[in-house]
Amino acid sequence: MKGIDLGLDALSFASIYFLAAIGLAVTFGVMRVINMAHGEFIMMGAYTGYVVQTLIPDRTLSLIVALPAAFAVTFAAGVALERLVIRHLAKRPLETLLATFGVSIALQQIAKNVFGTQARPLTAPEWLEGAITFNDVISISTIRVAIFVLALLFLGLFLFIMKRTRLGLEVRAVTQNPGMAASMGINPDRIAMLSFGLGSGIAGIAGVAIGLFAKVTSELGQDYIVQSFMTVVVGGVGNIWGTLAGAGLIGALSKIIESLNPSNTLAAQTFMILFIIIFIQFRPRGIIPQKGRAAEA
Amino acid sequence: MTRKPFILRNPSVLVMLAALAVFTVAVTLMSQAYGSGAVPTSMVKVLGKTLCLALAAVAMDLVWGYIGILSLGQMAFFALGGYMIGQWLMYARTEAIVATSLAQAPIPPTPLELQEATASQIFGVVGSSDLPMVWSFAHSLPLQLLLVVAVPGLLALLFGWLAFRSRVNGVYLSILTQAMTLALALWLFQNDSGFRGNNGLSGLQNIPGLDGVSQARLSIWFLWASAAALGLGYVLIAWLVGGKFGSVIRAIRDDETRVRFLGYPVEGFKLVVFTLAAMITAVAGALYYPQAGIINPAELAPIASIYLAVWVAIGGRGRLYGAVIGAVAVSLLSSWFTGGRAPDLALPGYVVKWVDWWQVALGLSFVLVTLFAPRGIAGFFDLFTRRRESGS
Amino acid sequence: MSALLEVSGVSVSFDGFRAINNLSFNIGAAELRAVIGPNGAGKTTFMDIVTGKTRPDEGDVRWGEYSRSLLKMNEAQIARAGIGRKFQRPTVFEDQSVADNMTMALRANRNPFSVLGWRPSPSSDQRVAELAAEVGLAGQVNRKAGELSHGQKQWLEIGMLLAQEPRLLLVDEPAAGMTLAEREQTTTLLRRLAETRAVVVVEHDMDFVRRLNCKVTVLHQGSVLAEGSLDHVTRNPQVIEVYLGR
Repeated sequence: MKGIDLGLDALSFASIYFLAAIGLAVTFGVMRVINMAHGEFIMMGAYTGYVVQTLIPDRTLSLIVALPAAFAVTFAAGVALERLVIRHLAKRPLETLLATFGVSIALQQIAKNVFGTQARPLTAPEWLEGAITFNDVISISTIRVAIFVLALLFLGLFLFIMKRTRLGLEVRAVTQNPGMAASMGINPDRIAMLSFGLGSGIAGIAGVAIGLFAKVTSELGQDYIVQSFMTVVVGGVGNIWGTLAGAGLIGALSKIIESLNPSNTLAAQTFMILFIIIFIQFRPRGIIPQKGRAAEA
Repeated sequence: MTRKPFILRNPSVLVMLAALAVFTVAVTLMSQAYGSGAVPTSMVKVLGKTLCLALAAVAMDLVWGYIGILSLGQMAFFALGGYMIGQWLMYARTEAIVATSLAQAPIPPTPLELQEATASQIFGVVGSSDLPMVWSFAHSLPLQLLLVVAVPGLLALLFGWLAFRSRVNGVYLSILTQAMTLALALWLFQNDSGFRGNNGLSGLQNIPGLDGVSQARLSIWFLWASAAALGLGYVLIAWLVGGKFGSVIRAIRDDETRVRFLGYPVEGFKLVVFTLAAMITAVAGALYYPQAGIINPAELAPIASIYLAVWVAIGGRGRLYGAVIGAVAVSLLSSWFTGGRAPDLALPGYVVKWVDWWQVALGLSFVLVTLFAPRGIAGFFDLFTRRRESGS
Repeated sequence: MSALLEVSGVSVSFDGFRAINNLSFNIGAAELRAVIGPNGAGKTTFMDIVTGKTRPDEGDVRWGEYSRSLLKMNEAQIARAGIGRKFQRPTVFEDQSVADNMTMALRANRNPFSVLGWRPSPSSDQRVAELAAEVGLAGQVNRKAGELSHGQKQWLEIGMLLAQEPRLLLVDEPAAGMTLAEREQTTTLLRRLAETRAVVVVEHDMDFVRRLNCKVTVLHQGSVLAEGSLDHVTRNPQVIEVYLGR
């Protein structure tokens, strides 16, 4: 019984990590770019949700509006970041990391200046409140189920885009061999811009989802950024299944460690990170590594 | 080919040492303790701390600018150095206070009683009265001084050995160093870690045994010590990167595979550099926190280490004086702008309050520097010297 | 015949693709050998295995008088044992001077602490000057390697290899991007080097291989297809089929 409850908790943790990390998997996996502002895109998504809610009082309707709005806002921000900054730092990954960090602190402070330091509420519609109770031990809040469904939805959407659409085909081509892709008439710059926008847009939607159960502050993104990187790195770069596996592993593990010593979540997080550091020793390329000559680049 | 002595081959080292000496003497002559009093003691402390940050930046430059490891964990070593010296400062001072108060008692306390009373004073805030294991050496200054370099050194050695051995590189390595810092910070945040959780160690500005010395004097002494440490560290690192060792580590930065095929044990070099830099950073931290007065786990936040990288980048990496310039300029500017003393900027329709907008300006200026001046401030010096060379 | 390098029954696959398939190869202590083969024949992978960059799935690689296995050694240890490798594209440290590049390659203890204690001496300066003269960079020792022309970089890299004093030299497509005169020079140098050590040249260009006038090993699909003089192997019907299409 306890095990099932734990499993459900782990599953919901995993879906949050997955949602937060999937956008990063696109930008880091496809373009080998560490976007330190990814967490701030999540934050922007959450604030977009808050703003929409102040404009539209009906919560269900506002949520329906907020999701595409958050996607649009962060998609635009991502495209702007790619065009203005990242494109000019190609082949200088460490400097990209620092430049996007500059964007990150600027965005954080702007959010603080505009929305203030206190947390803003992003309230879930009534039908998402409450919990689904199976018996005394096993219960799960509806919002977590919704997030799980959302994560599944994104996994499906991502797979559909990558495997079934022209855009996905071109993205995969650019990932594997940009020079060859360019010579076949694919514009790698355009693909980079679109995939960066897509990854950022997903971060925005993740932000709305996270905002529904967490407090919306300017530091919201910081709470998820390290875990998101861990998820991608542990899972293996350039593979959505890797991200899923990474999220699953991290979600399960943080729940298990927490349950061993429930009074001390700080210790749980410490051990979690230590585990990841040691894990990387044995699987430096993650759970599902990229293979072949492309992996050596 | 004739070889000039090291110092003469590196005029920038001489210039840096001279500038440091002039600065130290000038501040001393304007201090409240030894001079005109034009520079208040609080300012002397800010300047002393800035020198420590500059030393940390020089070490960061060694790690990032020369061997190419963008370590986002340098502040972990910095803070560890501070914690190690803080243990002695806090213990010895608390012990002295407890001893004075117990001296009134009819029966003089035994050493064990004294230790217990001291421990319950220090750890009362986290609901404990036992002295944790990690404080075993806190009574001894020499031992804690040894730990200042030994603990961060060992941590760097262990972490580096694990990471370099499995050839974790580039952005992966950066993320991993960040994870290490975060793990350490979270661990220190716990109340039962033995370092007083988020209270941290405080009262570090009071040096045991020097109760009669005013803070004005102490601040100048610490300024001298910080200047000496920066000078020594600078010369040591400049010497290190000047010779064949420097040649090899720059080669590792540019193409480590090729260096391996030349027969050099790349991992060994990285380990030596990473560990040495960690120890230098720890010394800087050990000098910084007595001037700051307090240390807590927030000092280890991953963002602090990124700031260090930002300073080095703005100053110009791969050039030691660039690191010093970057650290001094950006940290002093930051404290001026965020200190609320900078005049507001009145734009049509909006008044820019720097307290609110400095962070935004800093972030954006950092993007601009990486985009348009990848060599940083030191790059402008290059332009100047190159013009002079071609002119002569 | 005692071989300096003995590769026996080595295989390696990437993602199910067998890049090297049961390959065996020997070379003596002072021998010049050309390795040829079409694209994808496994030439680069072969060099990767010998220099420790790639670990074979099976087989053995033995080295020197005591037949030490190279499989347990990493790239740096193999390089220190006396195997030098020249890459296809010139890889020199562009940010540093020609003299610094050569000094790094000079035979000396590679341990970090020994390197820290290393000081230039008249003899090391002289060795650098000699090597620079030998590869035609005599007047250029203080220039940055990045300022050199493509051909000069190739020569600098060869100079660095010589400074390492390897017993076996692996040279990947030395003639690529060289002018006719430079090719002549390279041939002469390689032949002279092979008088005192083993040299393996991986090459595409048949004319260049003819000029080397040495024993040739033809690789195809990861194993040795034929071995012998150039005339011998070019008469081999299998080789003709592989090279001229099937």
